[in-house]
Amino acid sequence: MSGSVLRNRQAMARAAAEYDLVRVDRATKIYCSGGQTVQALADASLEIRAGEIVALIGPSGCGKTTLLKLLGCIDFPTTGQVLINGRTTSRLSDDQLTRLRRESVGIVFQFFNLVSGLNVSENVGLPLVLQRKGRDEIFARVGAALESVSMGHKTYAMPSYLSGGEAQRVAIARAVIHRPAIVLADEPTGNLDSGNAEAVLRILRDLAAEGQAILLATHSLETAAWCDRTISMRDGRIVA
Amino acid sequence: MFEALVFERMRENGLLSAISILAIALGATVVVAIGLTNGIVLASLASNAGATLNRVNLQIVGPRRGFDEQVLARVRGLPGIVDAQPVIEGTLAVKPAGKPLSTVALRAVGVDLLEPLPRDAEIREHLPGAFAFRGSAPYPDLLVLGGGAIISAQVADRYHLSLAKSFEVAGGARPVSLRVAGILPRLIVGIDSSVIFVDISTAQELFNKFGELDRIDCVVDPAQLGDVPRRISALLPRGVRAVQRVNDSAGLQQLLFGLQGGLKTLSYATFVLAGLLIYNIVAVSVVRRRREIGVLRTLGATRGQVLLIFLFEAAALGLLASLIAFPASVLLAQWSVDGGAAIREYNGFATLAMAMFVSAVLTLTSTLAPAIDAARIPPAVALDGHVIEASGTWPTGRVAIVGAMLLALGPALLYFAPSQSIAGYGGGAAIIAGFSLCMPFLLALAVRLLRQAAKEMPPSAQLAFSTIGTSIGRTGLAVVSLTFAVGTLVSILILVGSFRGAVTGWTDQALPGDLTVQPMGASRLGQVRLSSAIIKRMGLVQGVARLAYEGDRAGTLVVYARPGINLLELRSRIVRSAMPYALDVSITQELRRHMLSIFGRTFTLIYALGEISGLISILSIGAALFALVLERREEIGVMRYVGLSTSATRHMVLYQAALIAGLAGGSGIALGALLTFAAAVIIERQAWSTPLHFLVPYDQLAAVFVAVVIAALLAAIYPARVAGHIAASEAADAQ
Repeated sequence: MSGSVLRNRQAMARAAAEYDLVRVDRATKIYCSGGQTVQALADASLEIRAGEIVALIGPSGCGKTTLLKLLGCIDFPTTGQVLINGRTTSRLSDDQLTRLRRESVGIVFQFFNLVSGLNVSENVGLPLVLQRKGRDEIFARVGAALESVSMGHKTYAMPSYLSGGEAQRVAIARAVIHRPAIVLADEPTGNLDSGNAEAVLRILRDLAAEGQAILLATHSLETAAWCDRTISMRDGRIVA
Repeated sequence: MFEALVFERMRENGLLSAISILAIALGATVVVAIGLTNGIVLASLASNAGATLNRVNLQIVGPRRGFDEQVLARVRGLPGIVDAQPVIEGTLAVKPAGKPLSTVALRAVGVDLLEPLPRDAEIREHLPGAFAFRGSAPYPDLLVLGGGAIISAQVADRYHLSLAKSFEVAGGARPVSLRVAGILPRLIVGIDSSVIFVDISTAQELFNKFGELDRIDCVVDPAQLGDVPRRISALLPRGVRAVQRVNDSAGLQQLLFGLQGGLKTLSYATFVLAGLLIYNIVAVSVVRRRREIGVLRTLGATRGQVLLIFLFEAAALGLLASLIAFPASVLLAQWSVDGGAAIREYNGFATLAMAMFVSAVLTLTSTLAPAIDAARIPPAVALDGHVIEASGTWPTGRVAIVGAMLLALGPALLYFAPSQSIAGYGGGAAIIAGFSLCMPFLLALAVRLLRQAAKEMPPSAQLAFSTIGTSIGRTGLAVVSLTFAVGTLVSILILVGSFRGAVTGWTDQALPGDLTVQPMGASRLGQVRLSSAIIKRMGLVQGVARLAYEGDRAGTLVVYARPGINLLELRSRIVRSAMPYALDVSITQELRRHMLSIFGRTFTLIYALGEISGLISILSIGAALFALVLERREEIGVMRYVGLSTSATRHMVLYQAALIAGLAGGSGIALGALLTFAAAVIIERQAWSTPLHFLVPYDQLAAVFVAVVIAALLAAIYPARVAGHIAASEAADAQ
C-alpha cells in the first residue's frame, strides 16, 4: 500500500476510534409475504468500531443477510434503528440513503459482482466516479487501491479475464477505495479455493489493521477465526 | 407441464410478449395488406395509364357514318388479335323530367357489355358482375335488353338519378328512354365525369346506327403488330382502315412495375425488421432463463423438449398476432386502395389463413436460432452463478470485414450484372447486408470513442457507454434494425419525392391543358385530323383561352380554358361549335387529377409502410434497452449499491438510447443514399422515358434524424423507469 493511503487510513482510524462507526440498536425486521409475517431480525443490537473486523456467523436463514441489508442502507428496520457514522438510516430519503451508501459503505459479494462492461480500474474507480471526484485523484487512488490488493498488473483487464481470487481482490479494492465507514463482506471466500480465500482474508485483516471497520458474514468458523470477534445469530437473534 | 412453462413465462414477460405480438402483427399486416392491395392499386394505376395512353394499339375506323358490324367477326378471327371490341361513340343530352333538354353534352360510349372492355379493366369490374357482387345492381340484364345505362356518379348527382330510374336522352334522330343500371364510383379513372356507358345495341338504336359500328378497338400482339394491319386491311370494306400508333405507355408501365417491386420489397423489409425484433426478444429470454433451462436439463429434459418450449411459445405469440394482423391487414388494404371502396378480391378465410401463415413463418424463423441456443445449454448451468451473457464474444472486426466486402460487391453487381437478373437484385441485397454487418463494429467503435469522450461527462453517461459495450451483439441488432428502417425511409423520401415530380411532369406532358379534343371515331390515335375551319371555330368559343395543336390540321387539339370557366359547359359549347362534325372531348384536368390522386395514394401507402418499419424499429430499440436492463439487473443493483442514484440510473438508459438512435440515424441516412443510388441504377437500366431528377429533401432528412432520436428516447422511458426502480438489494438478493 502506498504511503499516502496508509497515512490517510491511520489518521481516519485514530479519529474514528473515538466512537462507534456503525451501531445497530434493538433492530427488528418483519417481512410480510403471502399474507404471513416473518420476523427476519429480532431485537438485534451491535456496534462496530474503526479498525475492527467482526465475523457474523450463523446457519442459513438466521438473519445474516437481513442484518447486512440494514447496515448496507438498502433496507430499514421495522423497529429500532441503524446508525452509520452517527446518522440514522430510517430517517433518510432514498437519495440521502444512496449518498450515505456511496460515501460510507463498501460491499464485497460472494460472486464478486464486478460490472462486466468496465475494466478493472474502472470497476475500482466506480465509487469515486459516482462521487464526481477529479480524474487525477481517481487515477491516483485506483492505482494505490489496486496495489494494496496486489492487482496493479491487471489495471486494464476486463472482469471476464480474471480468476475468482483476482476478481475478489478487485472487488475488495472497489469496496475500500472511497474510505467507507464500514465494509460489508458477504461470504467473500465462499466462491474461492483455499489459497485464494486465505489471500483475501489476509487483505481484509490488513485493512482492519489500518483502521477499516469490516463486518464479514460467513458460514465458516475457519473464516471467522481470522476476525477480531464473532457475532453469532440464530432465528433472527444475536445469540453471542 | 411445458405448456405451463410457456404460458407462465409469457405472462411474466408481459411487456416483451406484448411487443413481440405487436411486432409480429405489424410485420404480418404489412405483408398481407400489400398482397391484398398490390393487384388492386397497380391495376388501378395501370388502368389510368392504359386508359390515358391506351393499351389499344390498333383501331379500325370508318367514314363518319360508320361501317358494317360484320367486320368485327372477321377481325376477331385473325391470328395476332388479342382482343377486338366494337365501339360506338356519340354525344347526347339528358332531358330531366319536366324540364327542357340539358345544354350539357354528355359523351356516350356504346360497348359490348357482355365482353370485358378492352382498355379498362377497372371499368369492367363495375359492370354487372361487380354490381351483383356488391348487391347494388337491380337488373344486370337490363344493360343489354332494356336500354340500361351505366352512368358516372357525377352524372347521377347532376340529374338526380338513381339505380333503376328512367331518364330521357336525345342523341340521334329521336329521344330515347334509358334506365340507370349502374353508377360508377367517383374514382373510376380513364373516363371523365360526363360519360354514359350503354350496350352496343342500345348505342346503335340511340344513334340510329343499326348494324353499324364507329370503331373497333384492337389489342394486337406486339410481336405481330407489323403484319396484322396488312392482314386486316385485306378484310376491310372500302373507306374503312386500320390505323396504329406506337404505344408510349411502356415507360410508365416500367414505373408501375418498379413501384410494385418497391412495395413488395418494403413489405418484406418490414417483415425482416419484425423478425430481428423477435429474435432479439427471444434471445434475451434465453439468456434470462439459462439457469431455469439448466435445471430442466438436470431433471432430464431433452434438447428437443427445450427447443419445443421456445417454438411452442413462438407459435402461441404468432397465433395471437395473426388475430390482430387479420383485421388490421384488411383495414390497411381498404385504406390504401380507397377509403370507401371494398376490396373486391377480399376473401375472409384466405386472408385469415394468410395472416396466420405469415405470422407463423415470421415467429418460427426468428425464434429458431435462439431456441437452438437454448437447447444447447448444458445442465451444469443450473449450478453456475453467472447467468449473464459473456462479453466480448462478438467478433465485430471480422464481421465488419465481411460487411465491407459485401459493400464493395453490391455496387459492382448493380453496375455489371444484367438488368433484372438475380445478381442485379443481389447487388441491392449486398449493400443492405454489408451495411448491417458493419454496424456492430461501428457501434463498438462509437462506444470506445464515447467512453473516452465521456470522462468529463456525468457518471451516468460514463456508465451508459461502458455498459452498452457488453451487449454489442444484441444492441447491434437494434442499431441494424433502426438503420435499416431509417435507410428505407430516407430512400423512400428521396425516391417518392423524385417520382412525384416525374409523375407530375409526365401527366402534364401526357395530359396537357384542360380539355382534349379529337375527331370522334379515332380517338387518341391522331390519324384522323380536325380541319382548320373547325379549329378556327373552336378558338372563338367563349371560355377558350388558348388552343394548342401541331400543323394546320391537328389529330389532337388541347384546349386551355380561361380561369373559373365551368369545363362541362365549355365542353358542350365546343361540341356544338363543331356540329355537324362529331368530336370526342375529354376533360383532361379531371383525368390528370385522378391520375395524380391514385399515384398520391400509392405514395402515401409507401410512406405508411416506411413509417410502420420505423415503428417496429423503435419498438426494437425499446425492447433492446429493456432487455439490456433486465439482463444487467444484477449489475445495475451493484451500481445502485455502490451509490448510483435513481435518476442517474434512468439517465444511463436514456444516454444509451440516444447513442443507438444517433448512430442508427446517421448510418441510416448513409444507407438511404446508397439504396437510392441502387434504385437510380435500376431505373436507368429500365430506361424510363421521363428523366428522373433526384431531389434530396435535406430538411426532411434532418427531421427524420431528430424524430428518430426523440422516438428512441421516448421508447427508452419505460426501460429507464424499470432501471431506476432496480433496488440495490437486487445485488444482495442475487447472492
